[in-house]
Amino acid sequence: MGTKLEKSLSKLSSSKRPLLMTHVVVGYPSLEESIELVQVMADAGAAFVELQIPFSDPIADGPTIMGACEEAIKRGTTPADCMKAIETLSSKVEIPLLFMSYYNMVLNFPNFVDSAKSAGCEGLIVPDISPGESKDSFFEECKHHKLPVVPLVSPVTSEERMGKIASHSKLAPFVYCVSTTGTTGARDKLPAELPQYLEKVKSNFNLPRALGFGISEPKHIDSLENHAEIAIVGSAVIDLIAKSKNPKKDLEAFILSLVG
Amino acid sequence: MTVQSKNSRESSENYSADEFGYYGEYGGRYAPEVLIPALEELENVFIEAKSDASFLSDLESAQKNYIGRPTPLTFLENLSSKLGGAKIYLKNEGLAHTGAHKINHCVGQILLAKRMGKKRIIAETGAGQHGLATASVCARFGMDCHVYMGARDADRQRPNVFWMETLGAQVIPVEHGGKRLKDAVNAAIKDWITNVRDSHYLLGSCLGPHPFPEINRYFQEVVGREIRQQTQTHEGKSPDYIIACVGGGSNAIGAFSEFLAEESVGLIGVEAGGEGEELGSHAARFQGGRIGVVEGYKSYWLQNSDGQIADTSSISAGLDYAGIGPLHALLHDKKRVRYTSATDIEVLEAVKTLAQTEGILSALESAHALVEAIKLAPTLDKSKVIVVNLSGRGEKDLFILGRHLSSDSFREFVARYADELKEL
Ligand SMILES: Cc1ncc(COP(=O)(O)O)c(C=O)c1O
Repeated sequence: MGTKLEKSLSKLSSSKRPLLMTHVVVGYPSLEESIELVQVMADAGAAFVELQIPFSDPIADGPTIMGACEEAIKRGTTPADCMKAIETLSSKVEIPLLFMSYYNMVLNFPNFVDSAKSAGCEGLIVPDISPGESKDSFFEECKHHKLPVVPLVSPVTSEERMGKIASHSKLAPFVYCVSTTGTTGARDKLPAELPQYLEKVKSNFNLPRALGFGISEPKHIDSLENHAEIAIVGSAVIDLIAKSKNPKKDLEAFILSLVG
Repeated sequence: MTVQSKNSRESSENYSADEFGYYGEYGGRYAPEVLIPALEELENVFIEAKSDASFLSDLESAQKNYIGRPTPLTFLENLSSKLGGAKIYLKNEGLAHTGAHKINHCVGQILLAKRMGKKRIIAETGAGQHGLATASVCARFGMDCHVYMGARDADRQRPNVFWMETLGAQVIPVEHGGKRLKDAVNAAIKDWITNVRDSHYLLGSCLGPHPFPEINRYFQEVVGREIRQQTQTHEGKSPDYIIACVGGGSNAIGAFSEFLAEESVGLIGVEAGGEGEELGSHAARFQGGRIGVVEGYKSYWLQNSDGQIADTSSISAGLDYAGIGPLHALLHDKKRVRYTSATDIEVLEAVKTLAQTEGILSALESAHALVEAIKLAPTLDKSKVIVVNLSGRGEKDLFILGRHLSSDSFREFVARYADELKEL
């Protein structure tokens, strides 16, 4: 029996349609509700969920996720709450859970990597630190505790740099491909030059490609067939929850439509 | 008289960043992947430019003919004799074009932007002085200028908003967080993430991801070199103390850098003490700040126990910032610079004192350094020389001073003028 992460990744070979990774901000709209939303996502067919630990200054996030983080912090959500949430959830759901946050949250939490791993977290997404650039022991700690870090690339990343990032990311479960130059946020259309960009990623990484930033509709995911193995939906879920009178039911329908 | 460029007590430490942009453990390049290519390009262009004679000659010419360098070193004879101790000199960056030291790195960076072929400029500003200097160089170089400013700062430094707009810049008030400088930096970074292909982020202090702290240091070092020459001319020696206020840290680095290896020169950085000592009431990062990584760099940050960045408070928008440039963090730990703070009340008093004894209007930011000089001078012998880096002049603070210092007649005028405008 492999890890949940390995199980989800093993589905890739049999699925033409990209698998779905969804996102929640822990503590939004409330701690309890965010935990329930993850269960709904898992039950409705999401293959991975990233749990964002809210931070006051989320540099890569657009208004939707920034607003949700602000709200979660205002309600008193702490990084310790997030550790507890992932621990609770990892014993309830059959899919892998990852933490996403900014490096200040990692740096400030005592033994973050060890704690996250022990709580059942199966991967980290930290957009403001990259391997090969920093003096921090973060990447070594992750290796030591066998907690993979997801590398990120963007449309302006050169192939040379992709090669360098790839060489530091041998244990990563997938590569997070940011779809566009911009912050997170639901968009109507995906950029036209995506296929060429994702082709470059394919030839430089021996990893599944997870495309994120801007995906908000089932047809976006349809268009990613053969170009990406995983589709990431974040802000669109938060937009839906913010509007919905019955978030769990609406979320379930939305996830089902995305899974196709 | 010859200028002494080496001192007998010189140490080998020049505190420059290593290849990854670290000063000791501080600094670095903690940026989203989408910005890394732009940061690499900027670093390469900067390294190239520093050894390009035509770049250096353009820079020197702009420093002389546009900024008006060298700025004067003024002996404060009245204040010094009133305090009865050390001689106090003022390095008057307030007389630089646009009224503050910010123009030094703006001129440098706009030349780099031109070299990179960028046409669109993004900047953040707190007091509005960096925004004003950016707007000015953009107008001169024909670049499209977008300045982010915390909504709170845009209100309290309204004259600078008006001047930036007059110069053709678009000023975007930032409504997030504490609506201050940190929030403006956040918004500017997000603009850059979005428009990174055609925009240069003209960052306004010695902070942010590598290479910004080194770039702004390089362009601000002219201030320290002039201080050395001018003190030599006036006093035949190096200063005994140099005092500068510290927001992000650019004016202080500019004044200090030349003297870092000269251990006999005492260096004092003054942070904003605001209204009190509890978290949220001040912006003194070395009084309660902890190591954090925010806005692309590692340094001391005012933050709560969870690592959420704290609110700050200062009468001066330019010092009202939760982080501090990474080189300052190292200089603090190494005890090469002593860091103190001045409260809002002390600062207002110092503005009044300088105006009335010497006829010079100080920016609220720079007046933090004056507070420390006024405390220090009487404790020193008359043979000692203190140089205060007066980073900016005070006109921008009209409405803040109008609230705190003025007679009723100013308030009556503002109210009457507001009524007149309504009629228009
Ligand atoms: C006049 C003046 N002094 C000082 C500062 C603080 O910045 P720094 O610490 O980078 O010099 C500002 C910033 O707005 C300023 O306008």
